[in-house]
Amino acid sequence: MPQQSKSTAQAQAETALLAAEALLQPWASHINKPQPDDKTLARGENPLVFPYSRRRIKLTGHGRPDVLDISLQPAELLEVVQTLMDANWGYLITITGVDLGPEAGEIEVLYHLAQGAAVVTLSVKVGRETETAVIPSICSIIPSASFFERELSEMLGITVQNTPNSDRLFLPDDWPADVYPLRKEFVAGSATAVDAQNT
Amino acid sequence: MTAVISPKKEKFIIPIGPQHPALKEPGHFEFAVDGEIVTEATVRLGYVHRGIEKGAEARNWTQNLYLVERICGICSHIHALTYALGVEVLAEVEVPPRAQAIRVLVAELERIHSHLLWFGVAAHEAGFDTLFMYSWRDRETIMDILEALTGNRVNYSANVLGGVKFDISDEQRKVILDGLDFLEKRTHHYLDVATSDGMFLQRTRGIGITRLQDAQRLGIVGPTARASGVMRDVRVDAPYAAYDMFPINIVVETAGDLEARFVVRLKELFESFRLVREILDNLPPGDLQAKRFPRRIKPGEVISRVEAPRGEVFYYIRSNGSDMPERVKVRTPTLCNMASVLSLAVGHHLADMPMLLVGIDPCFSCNDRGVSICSSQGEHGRWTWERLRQFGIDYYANKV
Repeated sequence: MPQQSKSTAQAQAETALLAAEALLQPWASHINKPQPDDKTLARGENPLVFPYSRRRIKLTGHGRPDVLDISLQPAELLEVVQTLMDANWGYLITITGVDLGPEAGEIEVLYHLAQGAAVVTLSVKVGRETETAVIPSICSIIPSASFFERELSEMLGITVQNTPNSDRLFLPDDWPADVYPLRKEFVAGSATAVDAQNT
Repeated sequence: MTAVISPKKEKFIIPIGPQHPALKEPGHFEFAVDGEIVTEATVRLGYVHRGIEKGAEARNWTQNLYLVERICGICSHIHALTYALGVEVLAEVEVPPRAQAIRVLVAELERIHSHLLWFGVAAHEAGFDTLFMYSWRDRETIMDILEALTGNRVNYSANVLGGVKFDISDEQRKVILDGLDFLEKRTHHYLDVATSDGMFLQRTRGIGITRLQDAQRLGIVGPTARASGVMRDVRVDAPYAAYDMFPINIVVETAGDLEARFVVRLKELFESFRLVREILDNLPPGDLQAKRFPRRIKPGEVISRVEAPRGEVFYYIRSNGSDMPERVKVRTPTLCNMASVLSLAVGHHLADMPMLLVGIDPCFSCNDRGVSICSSQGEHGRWTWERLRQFGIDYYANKV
């Protein structure tokens, strides 16, 4: 087996990110690229270095040099996922839900896809109300997303439309129906078990 | 009396778990069977869900290092490592190379212990208890090494934010090398047994074949994926900590059956032995910890990925500028691989189910991230965090 040096892995990540960027061209206006700081550019270093190596670059603002973030509307999600999967770009690592709190009134849903070291994150924001906390299921394109979508919906109270299985995955059977533990207003230990048959 | 013959359409469902003799961790499975053949499979998780992701939002950056280490009792170091690597990027703290090398050293020792543990459990499921006992006896070697290094068998607590806690003395170096020599000999023997023992091969060869396309479609990770020919290992694809200084050779098999999963994990042991020796011989000089680590971390988000013994561990960490994280998301390899068990189960014999399940080396604690306590006084139930903390303080105060 050929030994992969750091530079080949790095070059592959760079190629993968460029490929992703090309695929995502129709949505280019939504792409948020992390900006390397002036010192890195001054040293002439490639901003796509691995973050944990000894000569790791420092970033200003958020993000990491080997990631590409893109903000989407819920309606655009399926098309983007389909585009990436048609081109055989990467695999779905997981889906993260982040409650931005009652003031922001939004929940951010992040789809992390990786190819080698390159990670593309699709960010979709939905509302916090029952009618607005709705997102389409990507299971028709990536079947392995089912567990992640079940976790997302039980933990944050998001309705995942057309998901093949919307049963609970982690929460107990007697967990109250409209209590979502990863919402900011939920205080750990405050939920009381209810009779499973009443839920 | 007339015997009622159930119409063909009705399904016969065999519930297994959450407590069951096959596996020492809780998970509930329902297998619909037609005679001996499984026709449908479903899983219910969460029996050890502890709400750690929520808990992390109410603890500071340092406390969380200890919290995430307790997600899993087998790969505890990996969780602390993934978290520490992510937080260090957020805090823009550079970790000295010696510390990174020691982190990798502990990670590889942990992989050896984890793979040997799995090998024993898998042998046990196959009804080969002699092999189980031998591999667990040998595993004690590595447990003793980990205890000698860190003071603990399970939660080594090797990491601090910005480095590691301990250095490696010449004595410890010798203990590790002697242990590895013994284990290497034993691993050759185990590889021989796993690929030549006729009875054992009947349980593994050609069973639970996952083809490359299916492995990709199901999003399988780690040794399970590599046994199906998927060239994916975070240590190679995106070297973290000191894997750029000490590269690893990826181990891949193409058969995709249970035997291939045995072979991949056992061959990975040889890679781990080699890497540990290499690190011990070329340990970079320098400090063990970064000079300082900020208490508050400015707003930002980071993705941290690490290759655990079972596959890729993924952390997403977001900071809001305070001393506590806004969100810590953990994705463990078992969750990805569980889907493969369900799809593989269909068409196999019910008797193969335990083997298929252990084939992915499942770790339910990782999966569920949920703490229930049985005290020695026979008192069961939920303890508050405060009570647990006080219990710990009192326990050690009385002990001295």
